[in-house]
Amino acid sequence: MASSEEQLKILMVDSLEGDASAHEALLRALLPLLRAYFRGRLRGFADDVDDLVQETLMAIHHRRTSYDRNKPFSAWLFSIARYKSIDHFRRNRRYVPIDDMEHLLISNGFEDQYSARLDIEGLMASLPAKQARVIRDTKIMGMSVAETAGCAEISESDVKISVHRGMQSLMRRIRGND
Amino acid sequence: MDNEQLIQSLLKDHRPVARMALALRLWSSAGAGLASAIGISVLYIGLRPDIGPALATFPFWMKWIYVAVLGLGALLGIQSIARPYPSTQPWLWLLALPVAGMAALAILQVWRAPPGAWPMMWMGVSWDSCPMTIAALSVPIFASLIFAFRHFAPVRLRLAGFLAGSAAGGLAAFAYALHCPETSAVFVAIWYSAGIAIPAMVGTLFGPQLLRW
Repeated sequence: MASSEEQLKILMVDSLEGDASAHEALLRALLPLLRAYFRGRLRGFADDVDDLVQETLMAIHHRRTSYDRNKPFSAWLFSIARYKSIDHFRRNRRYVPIDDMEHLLISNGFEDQYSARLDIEGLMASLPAKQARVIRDTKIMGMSVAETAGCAEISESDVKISVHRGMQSLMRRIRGND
Repeated sequence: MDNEQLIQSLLKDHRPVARMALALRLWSSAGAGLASAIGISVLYIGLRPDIGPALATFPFWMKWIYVAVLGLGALLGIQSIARPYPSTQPWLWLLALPVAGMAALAILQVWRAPPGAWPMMWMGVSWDSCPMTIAALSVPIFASLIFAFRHFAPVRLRLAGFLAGSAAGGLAAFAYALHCPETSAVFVAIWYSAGIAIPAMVGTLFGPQLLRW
């Protein structure tokens, strides 16, 4: 199932170029994503979830002109889904009960996961290749220092130093000092 | 309708979308609206009799530049809010610059003229018809822009309505200038601005209803 940012974006771009099978694959791949998104936001209103999924799918299709190929796909997708859910609440004058807060947070986490991945990709791209690689291996993939050193064919102390320096410059960048 | 039927029906009207599609749609709609406003202005309202010599004068270009900058600025604003990303657009305040510039020019002109000339400067010969004619000319442009929004995904509908109204007003005033014989900056600063403000207000009021998707 194609559902990562890269895969969805490739499908979207191909679809805009006129590839009907990419368009179909994209719409199908979006169904479970949108269902999960709205289910998290509208707990207990199963019919509404189905309606919103369809409405959002239609908006994505009819308003695909508004997608900018230079920007991430998931940001566009979730902006539209967010607009649709706000519009839905406004129309139905229904308020989210407070005990659904937890689920809202979880569903937002789902969305955050996507944007967080994008942030990480952006930050990693700003590091030298070696530092990015060892940080990816140790901190994201969860490999040990020895394994990483073996894979990258560098010494273990080199791995430790690269991770340390890379993390420091990431930290500086996130704090905005760089 | 189940999801399968929906996907099949959406696939039926799948067409390629060009890279510049959004800008093309917006600017061609604005162009079509402007062309119809100019057509109405020339055919039904009539060119000013001295349009030839007027083209060589400062007041004529002052009007054109003022309203063109407003209209184009609003169109650029639409282009930036037509995508669904939640963003603030602080530079939209720059739209106030041409209005402020026009007001400054008007104040300068009043200050340098004798008080006896003031009533003629601000009322001219057509103050009572100017704003409503501009508002009327903005109707086809506004409609054409709202139509273009069917392909856009704005999330700030009121702002989008305001910008569509302002763009329509600016372009309508551009068409109206072909008819209008007035020459004072005071007149333009007051009555042209009022004519543009009418569609801008209509757009702000009804944007959420007209542009909801």
